[in-house]
Amino acid sequence: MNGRVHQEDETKLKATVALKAASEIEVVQPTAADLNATVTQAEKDRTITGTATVTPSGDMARKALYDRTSELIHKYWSGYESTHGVTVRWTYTVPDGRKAIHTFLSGIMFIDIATADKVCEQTWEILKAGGAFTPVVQQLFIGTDGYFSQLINNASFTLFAEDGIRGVTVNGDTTGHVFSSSSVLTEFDE
Amino acid sequence: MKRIKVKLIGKGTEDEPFTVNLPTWTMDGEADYKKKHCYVLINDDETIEKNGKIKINQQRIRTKYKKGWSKFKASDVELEI
Repeated sequence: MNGRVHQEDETKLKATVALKAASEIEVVQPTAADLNATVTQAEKDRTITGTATVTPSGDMARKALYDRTSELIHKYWSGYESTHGVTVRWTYTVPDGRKAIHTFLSGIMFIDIATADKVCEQTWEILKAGGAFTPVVQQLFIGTDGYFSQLINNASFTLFAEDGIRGVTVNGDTTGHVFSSSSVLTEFDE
Repeated sequence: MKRIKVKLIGKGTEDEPFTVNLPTWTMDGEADYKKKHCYVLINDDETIEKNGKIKINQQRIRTKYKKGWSKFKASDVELEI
């Protein structure tokens, strides 16, 4: 019992001491000279040292592909044509500020009559910005060696702003063939 | 997509294939190699309606694709239907 009373007295005593200490804190008001002081050139030129606080850059905060106003684009042409020269059937160009992932969907050419020594083919050609179109895939071909089909590369790849890709057909045969070329592009903000 | 009639350029060779001078388009049907024209489908935002007719939006193509297309002229490509 006595011990508890003593403990309460000690707590009150500590609180009193704390209040006294707080009352002794000196509050310094800025003087008129401080308020009117100008920053010297030396203070302006002073180099601040220490660890900088870094906030995430735009790249670090970049959104995921599907959040970058992505758009699915399908380029497709199909037709039955007899003799024709090298003809572009579709072209896609990546708009400024965008990128696009290209995926081959299908490439079909039906041969009504298997005629050798006539060039008849379907290709995809890629254009690098400022350059010229060059073939990336040559597919479904009739030549002097007879009929054969090839797909050099069907992997997806990324096109950058101003790059282009196009589907091309040619029929050197005297009979008509069915052509079909199809690609999918996922276009999104850079 | 909008359908417009355009000029077919080129000679049908590997170096100069028959093509259309537009950045993004798809041939609609077959080309007329003798009359050198064809119909193509282009994105809605790259067209504009004038006097009830669908025309190529020249300014939109210039700003959308920039650089290589900054001096694009619709009059070099489109034909009256």
